[in-house]
Amino acid sequence: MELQKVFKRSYMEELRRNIHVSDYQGEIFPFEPSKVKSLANVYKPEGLLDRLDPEDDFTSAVEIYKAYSSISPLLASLPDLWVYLAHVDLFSYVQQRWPKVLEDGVDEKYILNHWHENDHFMRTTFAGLWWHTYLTYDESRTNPTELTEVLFKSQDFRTLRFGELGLIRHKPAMMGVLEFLMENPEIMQNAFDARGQYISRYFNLLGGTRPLAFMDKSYFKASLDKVKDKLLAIKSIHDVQNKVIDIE
Amino acid sequence: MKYNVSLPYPVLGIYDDVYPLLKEGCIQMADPVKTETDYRFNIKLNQGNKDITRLVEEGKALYACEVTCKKTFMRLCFKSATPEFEITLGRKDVNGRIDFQCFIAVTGQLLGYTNKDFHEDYHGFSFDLEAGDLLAVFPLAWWNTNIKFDKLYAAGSFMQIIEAADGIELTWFNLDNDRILIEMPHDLFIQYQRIGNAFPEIIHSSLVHNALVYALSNLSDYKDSGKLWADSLMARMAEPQFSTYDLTDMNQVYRVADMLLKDPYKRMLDSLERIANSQTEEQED
Repeated sequence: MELQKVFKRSYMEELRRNIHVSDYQGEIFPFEPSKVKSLANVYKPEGLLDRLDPEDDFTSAVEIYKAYSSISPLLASLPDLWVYLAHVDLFSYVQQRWPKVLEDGVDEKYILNHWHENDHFMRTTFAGLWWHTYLTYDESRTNPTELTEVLFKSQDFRTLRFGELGLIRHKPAMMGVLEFLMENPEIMQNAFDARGQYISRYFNLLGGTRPLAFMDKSYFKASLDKVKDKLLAIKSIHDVQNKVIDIE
Repeated sequence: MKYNVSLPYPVLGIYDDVYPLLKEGCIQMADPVKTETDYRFNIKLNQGNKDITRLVEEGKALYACEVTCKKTFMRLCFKSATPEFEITLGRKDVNGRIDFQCFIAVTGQLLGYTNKDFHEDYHGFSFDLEAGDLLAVFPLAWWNTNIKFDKLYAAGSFMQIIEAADGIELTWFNLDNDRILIEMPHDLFIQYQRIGNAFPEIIHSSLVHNALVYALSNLSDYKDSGKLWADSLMARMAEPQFSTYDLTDMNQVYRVADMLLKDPYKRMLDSLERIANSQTEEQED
């Protein structure tokens, strides 16, 4: 098997600082082969591109995670692999997933957000897919990606709300919140962007007075159960935005 | 979590809610023992509040240490009935700054909590606490895996000169990366590369010194950022020779920068003198 390649750090930085939109609009991204290096002990998966679905983030996320399940959190925390995949091995997937790149007048920021290291690491295409699967993968379940699927049901909830909170990193919290949503599917059936925002703000407030990392899974489920009626009463974003959330 | 807010009940370690306050040295964490695969941290906590100690002894409260590594999305909570933690983290499970936030929290409902050492404002009051509510919070401890402590004296370990993006016309200092970036416009950067490492003293006393002053004067804004440069400078500032310096005073910022770079102006003048002497010698030849 072929070792997985990544860009040399200085080249990756050069590409990020000098984005040329037209480079992202062709069939392949033009890069300098001499500015590439191999990762030790990480092999390029075969056929991964064919298994990704630009219209289904959950499927793509699970495939990315399975293909690179053996990499360490240290490697996954670096942009190197994700940036290379977005530019070379899986370039056409990213183009299809973020098709505005092919439109006239697309700005560099759009490319920066989806192809490069940026201020919102989880929104970088493959970093977000891999990490959100890693954080929600639960081997103790018959279906280890059951909770991952719940998280991926809402792009807003995953990339702007719960998936961006420190809370998802605390495994009991992640399991408590996502299990509650799985067991109460009616909450996700309607106005979930707004309800998801409520959930995020609610736990932010609770975390202001109590160390949430100290709490176990049942606390998170019970906390959501307490506000279930309030959640179901939310019908639109106007029911949440600029509204006070009561944690009593 | 930042426990610098006022909670609806008194907490040892937050403002002066509970007397006597936690003492310096109430949390002791040495550099970790490094094995081939792990970092092993030992943390010792010390607090003398009798009522809180009794609650821990009775099993109604626990010491806890929340360990977070932002870059690897790690967030773990270790709990103990004793004020000491042995925490082992895999080398490949962490990257950069690791925070250790220790506290004491109640394990279940605790009705009518009082403490003989409450601030007098709370005398006569009691509080009903729930599981997880805080009794004490210790100062944050941290360690950064990327600081090369043996190279901490070299600015190059946390600073870099690079070419700025297209369209940037003036040199500027970028603090939003792990290293302090001195970003030079294309033409200047090419010129800098041509010079190479021929005059390190001149570069140190100009570009590097200016960038360091800029970084030091902004350090307070970045102290919790986990950025390598900020953690490196904080590690240096914790050394005894810097203990009396106040980085909100620009005069002192310049002095600290001089000390960190080991008197760069003198080194620059010595270097210029050497250059002048060699030119004189060449002319005499």
